[in-house]
Parts: sequence; structure tokens; C-alpha cells
Amino acid sequence: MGSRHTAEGIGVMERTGDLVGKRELATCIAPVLGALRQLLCGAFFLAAAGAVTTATALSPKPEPLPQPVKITVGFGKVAHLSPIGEIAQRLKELNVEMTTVEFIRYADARTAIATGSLDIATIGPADLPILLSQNNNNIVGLMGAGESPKFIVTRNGVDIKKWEDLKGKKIGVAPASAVWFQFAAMLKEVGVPYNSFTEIKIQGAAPNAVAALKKGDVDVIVTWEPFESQPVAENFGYWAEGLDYSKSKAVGAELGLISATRDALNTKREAVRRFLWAYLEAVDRLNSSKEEFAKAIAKFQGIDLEVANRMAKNIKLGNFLTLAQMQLQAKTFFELGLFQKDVSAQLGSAYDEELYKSVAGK
Amino acid sequence: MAGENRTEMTSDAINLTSVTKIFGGAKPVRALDNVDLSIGKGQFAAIVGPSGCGKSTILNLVAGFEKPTSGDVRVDGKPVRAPGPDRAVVFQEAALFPWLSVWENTIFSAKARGQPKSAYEHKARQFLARVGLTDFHDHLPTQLSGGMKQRVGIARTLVMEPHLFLMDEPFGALDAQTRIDMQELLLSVWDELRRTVVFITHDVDEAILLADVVFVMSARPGRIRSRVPIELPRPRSVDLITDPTFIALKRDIFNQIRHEAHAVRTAAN
Amino acid sequence: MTAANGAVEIERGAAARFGTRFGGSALVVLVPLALLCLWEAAGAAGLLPTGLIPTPTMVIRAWYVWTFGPDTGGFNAYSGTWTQVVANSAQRVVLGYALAVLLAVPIGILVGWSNLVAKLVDPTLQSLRPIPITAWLPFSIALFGIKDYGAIFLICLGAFYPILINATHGARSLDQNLHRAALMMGASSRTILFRVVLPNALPAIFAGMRIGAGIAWSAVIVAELVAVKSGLGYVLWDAYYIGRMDVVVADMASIGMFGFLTDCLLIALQRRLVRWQNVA
Repeated sequence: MGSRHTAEGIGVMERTGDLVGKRELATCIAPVLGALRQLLCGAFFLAAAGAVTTATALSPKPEPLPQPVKITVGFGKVAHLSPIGEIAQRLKELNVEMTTVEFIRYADARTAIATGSLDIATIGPADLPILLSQNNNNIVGLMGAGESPKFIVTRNGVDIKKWEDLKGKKIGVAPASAVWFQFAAMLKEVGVPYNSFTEIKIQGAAPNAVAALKKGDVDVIVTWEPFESQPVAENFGYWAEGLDYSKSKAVGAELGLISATRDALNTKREAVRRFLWAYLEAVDRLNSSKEEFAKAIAKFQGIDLEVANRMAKNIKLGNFLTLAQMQLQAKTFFELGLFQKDVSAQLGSAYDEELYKSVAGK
Repeated sequence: MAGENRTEMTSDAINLTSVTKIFGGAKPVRALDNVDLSIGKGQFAAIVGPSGCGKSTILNLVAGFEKPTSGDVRVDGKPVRAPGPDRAVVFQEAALFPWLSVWENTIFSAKARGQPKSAYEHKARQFLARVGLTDFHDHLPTQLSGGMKQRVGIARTLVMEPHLFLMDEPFGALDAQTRIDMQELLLSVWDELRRTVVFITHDVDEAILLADVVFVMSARPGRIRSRVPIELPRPRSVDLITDPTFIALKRDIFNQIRHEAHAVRTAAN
Repeated sequence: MTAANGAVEIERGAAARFGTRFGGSALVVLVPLALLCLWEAAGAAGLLPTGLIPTPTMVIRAWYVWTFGPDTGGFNAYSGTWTQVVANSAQRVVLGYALAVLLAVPIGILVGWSNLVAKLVDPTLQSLRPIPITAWLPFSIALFGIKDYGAIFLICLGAFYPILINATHGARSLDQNLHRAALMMGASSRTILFRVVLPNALPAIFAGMRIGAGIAWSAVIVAELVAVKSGLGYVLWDAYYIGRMDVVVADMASIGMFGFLTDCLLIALQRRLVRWQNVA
């Protein structure tokens, strides 16, 4: 029973209630049984949830807002953000009207939210210190999106088994992307100097990097899904499985950051709260079934189910970001000369965990 | 006239026989209608007539810029097929190459035909001096007056040493004083050269002053209305225009043209 | 008048050239200066979107560090690297532009001069013309990947059409009498093409070349979008991604500056080669 799906469990409980005999117990025992049923269902739910995943314990569904509120959400069409594709209906029930705007890069979403064109945006964890070092104090981080191991994608025929093998190679990166920060931090920590290989910054959309890899213009690319899986699926690349650059101390494994403008937090706070709740609800659901997750990814990104399956296996949705991690990242990259200011101290006031904690039942 | 033609044909420089020229287009224009024309070697022939009578067309046919619709155009007994350096042209607007200096314009034909410097340099200098432009050797056409440009236009044809000179209203765009200077220049130059010249003009004075024979054309469609020999002695000077013989010739030709022009006007009405 | 005069004209300094072009008075700098002050004031008053639009002083400071700062390597890409960045872009612009001139001038002259060539080649050229450079980008990436050739191709494409069209027009606009003069002087078709049609078309060709040069410099932005390792267009996007809008504006100013200098150069060249025309 413990491994059975929640709904089935509830069904069994109801049938038991019927056998007892409704008419005799209707007036006095039914309400007691009802309460008992609810209690047992709740316990069962928790047990079921606990057995499948270590995800958050979602707080109860919030009340719909008295008046409909509009929110504009900017996002990137990447696998770890596929919950966005699942929540529109739920938000409508909560009287929140969500308009979504798609961006190719985190940097574009960052610019859009910095200009006030969006209420909420998914950006990179490093984008917050970038904004702060440019004296922009209007954006507040709310929660992380997920984590996964990150492997560099190598072209077939190029042999990369250990970090040192990267020396002398041509490596395509997306400048200032979240994955680049992870990669750069990792290299520093494993002692591979950044100038020991040829860095080729491939701007714009990730397909350019995949094309460059296919053509042989680069040996290795550092990118995000589904573009990491594409070379493998099309048989011209492989993952160097020993080299996981999500494990750096300075940056960690966080894939993305959900953020909002201060303005949105002041004037639409409850709508933002409901957005996070619906988002986390979807996160829980997708985390609990890799099948569901793969389907959601496939639908969100418009890709093959087979490729989506791979991704669903690797990615764990949820908030893995901490303020301390962000501060370490900001400090590290200031020391490396990328940021003009050390904004680690300012990050505290640019990160608001209250909303996340309230909807995550913490 | 016919007898004259036959005996003259062997020594003729230019022969037009039954030449008709029709310009096509939405409204076809019959510029020349059955023109017969003979100009002897070494003759200075002027062609005058009312506006639009086709005088320039005759010159273009001889030059080889146009082909006759029907009829025969011959130079030195040979049919005209294309333009060439044996028939040098002086244009009304000088038509110098603006990117070349006076000197380079003068020697253009020689260089284009691959002649060595030794062949053309001396005579080019001479003719440039003859038209009075030695001091303007390196000037560009934009730096020259209309008259000076035309001098270059003449100089470059002199350097070519062609069989005949075709001059299409060469002084028409110049002011009166410059025109007189140019006429004097041409008179003195031609006296030395004595080559065949076909000179188109609307200025009767000029025609009589310069030419040995004046052809008067009818109004369009152009025909040769009359051939007026000019028996004034050479060398001539500009003050001839007050001479009685001159004036008599002028009266005759002037009236012929006026008659033609009048005919056009009444026809139009 | 003589060659000496032409030389005297060229020897005037760039400042004088600037002055002569625009009237040579202090009034010239009045409006730009006023705009800059306004911009700086807006920044100080907090009217500009913070972090996105830098003030003139921020831009100048960034430009200074970019040009004269120490080149420490590492991740600070905008210190002391300006000269190298400019050299990279300039190289591509020169190659792409030279290629455009070498192709467009002969083709343009032939299309303008020969009906046969026009019939064969012109329809294809004219149908490709409306496609803007940005639209060629994916095709260029597919063809050249991330090699330098892609950038040079796009720059060449951008400069090609104005030069072609002007060269064609220049060749077509040969005065009939000039053509007839050449014919009666016994010039062969080849001589006419090289000694008459071409020089006659030079003013038009230069007009096209000046327009083409401007487009070449703006094409460098588009052309350097993808994986080209360095250059002004590349830095524009790189600085944007890392949030250095002050460098972005300094970069824009650099591109404008070089476009202007290229134009001055071409005008000087035109004054030397096309002496019979008054060059504005």
C-alpha cells in the first residue's frame, strides 16, 4: 500500500467506509469517519510523497485572489524551467492572469526585467550580482529552479577523460551564461588555467554552439539542455562523465534563479506568492514521476520524448540555491576580475526567502 | 546637277545618294527625305537650314554615328560603316574628357590607337600652340572657358590628321566675341590644311564667311533645297561681312531659309 | 590647377577637413556638447534606467580603462584591449570591403555598359538585394560556421550593393557625345571601357564606395555576432551579456568614430583621383 498512488489509496478508504454501513452511522459516526478519512489520506499522501521524492512539502493551496491580478513572466525555454508550461490553468483558478514572454538567453530576460517590462523573470544566479554591480537595485531573487550534474559535451574523436585533457582544446562557451560561471569556477578549483585552452565565445542562441561542435570548429561545448543531449542523440558528441562542473564550491549546481522586481513585490506580492506556489506544485508533480517530467519537457521545448527522457533523469527540480552560495559566487568573480565591484554584502537585501518559505511549507 | 555629279564622283570626298533617314519610336520622324549631296575633296562645305531640318543628321551619317534608313553614304568612294579617325568630329559642346588635361585630351586619339610618343608629340605641341593653348597644357576642362574648350576640341582633331573634318555647330554655344575669334582661328588653320570640311551652322554669316559652298536645306523632312557657291577670295577676314558681295549672298540664303521656316509654320497651322 | 594643388589639398589636417566639411566654426560642437551635458544631468538626477543606460562620464571612464588600462588577462576583458579589438574588426572590414569593391566595380560597370551582361546578371542581383544583412546571418553561420570568413562575407555583402548600383549608374550615365568622341577618335571597345566609361563612372563609384564603407562598419556588428573571437561588434554583445553597458556605449562610439574616419579617408582619396569634380 505504501507504494501505491495516492488516489488509489483514497479509493480504498472510501470503499471501507461503505462496507461499514452508511445508514446506521450516518448521523453520528459519519462526521468522525470523515475526519478520520481526511487524516489518514493526509498521512498517506505524505508517506507516498516521501517514498518517491525528497521534494518540498507544499503548503496548502492558497485562496484565490479577490480581484484578478495580471503578472508578466519572462522565461527561457530550457528543460529545468518546464514547470512554467504547466501552471497557467492553476493560476487562473487562483485569479492570477499570467502572460509569458520567452527569451533566448538569461541575459535578455535580465535586461527585460531590469527595465521593468516584466514582473517575474527566470535569470541566472550570477545575473543578480551583475545587476547590483551596475547599481541596479530593483531586482530581488526568490528561489532557485533546480539542479543537475553538468558535463561538458565533447565531439566524437576528441578524447577528454580528465580535466587536464581540456588544455590545448577549442572550447565553445556562451559568454556570461549561468553554465559558464559554473564551468569557470570549476576550472579554477581543479587547477586548469583558463588560458591553457582556446576559449571561443559563441554568442546568441545555443544551436550555434551545437552547429560549431558538429562542424568541428570547436572540440568541446559548455551549454544547457536540450543542447547538451542533442549531440549525443545525433551521434556526433559524448559527455565526459567524470567531469561534472556543477560541483564547484564557488557556484554549485543551481541552474537558474526566479526573481521579481521590487515593484511587483510591493504591489502584487500575493500574486507572486501564488505564482511560486503553483510553480512548486508543478515541481513536486514532475519530480514525483520521471515520465510526467519527460512529457512536460517535451511539450515545453517541443523536442523528442526520447531526448526529454534523458534530461528528466538528470534534472532535479526545486530550490537548491542559498544566499551564502550566491555571495561566494559574487566574491569569487570579483576577485577574478569579471565584476567591477564586490557586491556580496548587498546580496542579502536582494534576496527575499519569505515568499518561498511560505509556499514551501517551511 | 546629275552631269556634275558623274564627273565629280571620282574626286568627291563625300557622297550621299538618295538618303532617307527615319527615326523610329512612338511617333516616327522623317529627318531626311531622299537627300542627294556631293562635296568635293578639299572643299569647305557649310550646311544651313531652319531648325530641325536634319543638318546634324547628315553629319551623323557621314561620321558613322547613325545608319541611313535607305540610300547610300560614301566617303572617298567607300561606304561608311562605323565612326573612325579618318572622319574627325568637332562637337558643339566640345565633348572633352573632363578627367584628362588639355594635353591628354589632345593626344587621346594617338594614344588610343597605340601610336608611339615620337609620332605624335611634336605635332600635338604644334597644334596646341596653333590654337593658342600652350600655357594651359595641364589644365582640366573645368578650368577652361567655352571658347578654350572648343580650341582643344579642334586641336585634338588636327592631331588626328583626318581625311575630313565634321563640325556640328561648333561655335553655337559661344558668345559673339568668342565666336568671331574662333572663326578667325578656323579660317587661318584651314588655309594651311585645305582638308575637306563639313560645317553645320544656323548662322548664315558664319557659313558664308567660312565656306566654299553653302547647302541650304528645306524644312523637315530634310532635302537639299539649293547649293550656293561662295566665290569670295581667300584669305578671308571677318570684316568681309560688310562687303557687298557678302551681303548679296546673305540676302539670298537668308530669304531661302526664311521661306522654308515660313512653310513649316503655315503647315503647322 | 596642377598636381601641386591637389597635393596641397590632401595635406590639410584631419581637423581642418572636419572643419571644412561642417562649416569650420565653434558652432559645430555646440549641439553635441549640449546633448552630452543633458545626458549627464539626466543620469545624475536618476532619470536614466539604472544599470542600463550609463552616463557620459561612465562611458568615458570605461573607454579610458579599455584603451589605457593594464591588460592583465584573466576575466577582465575590457582593460587595455581596445587597440587589439579595433585591429581585429578593422582587418575584417578592410578585407570584406576590398572584396566588395573588387567585385562590385567591374560587375557594376559591365552591367551598366553592356545590355547583354545586364540581361544575364542583373535580375539575379536585384532579387537578392532586398535581403538585409541580418537575414543572411543564419545562412552565413551554416555556410562558414564560426570562422572569420562568415564575418568577411557579411561585411562584403553589405558594402557590395551600394557600390554596384552606383557603378552601374556611373557607367550608364556616359554622355552620348563623349562616347561618340571616343568612337571617332578610333578607340577600341576595350579602350572605351577602361579609358572612358570607367573614369566617367569614378565620381559615382566613389559615392557608392562611401556609402558602402559606412555599411561595412555597421555590418561589423551583425557579422561579429557569432563566435568571432574579438572585434568591436563582438565586444558589443559580450559586454551586454556581462552587464557592462558603459563598455557597450564606448564600443558604439568607437564604431561611429571609425566609420567617420573611413569616410574622411575616402573623401581624400576621391579628391586625389577625381580632381575634376567638386567633392563635398
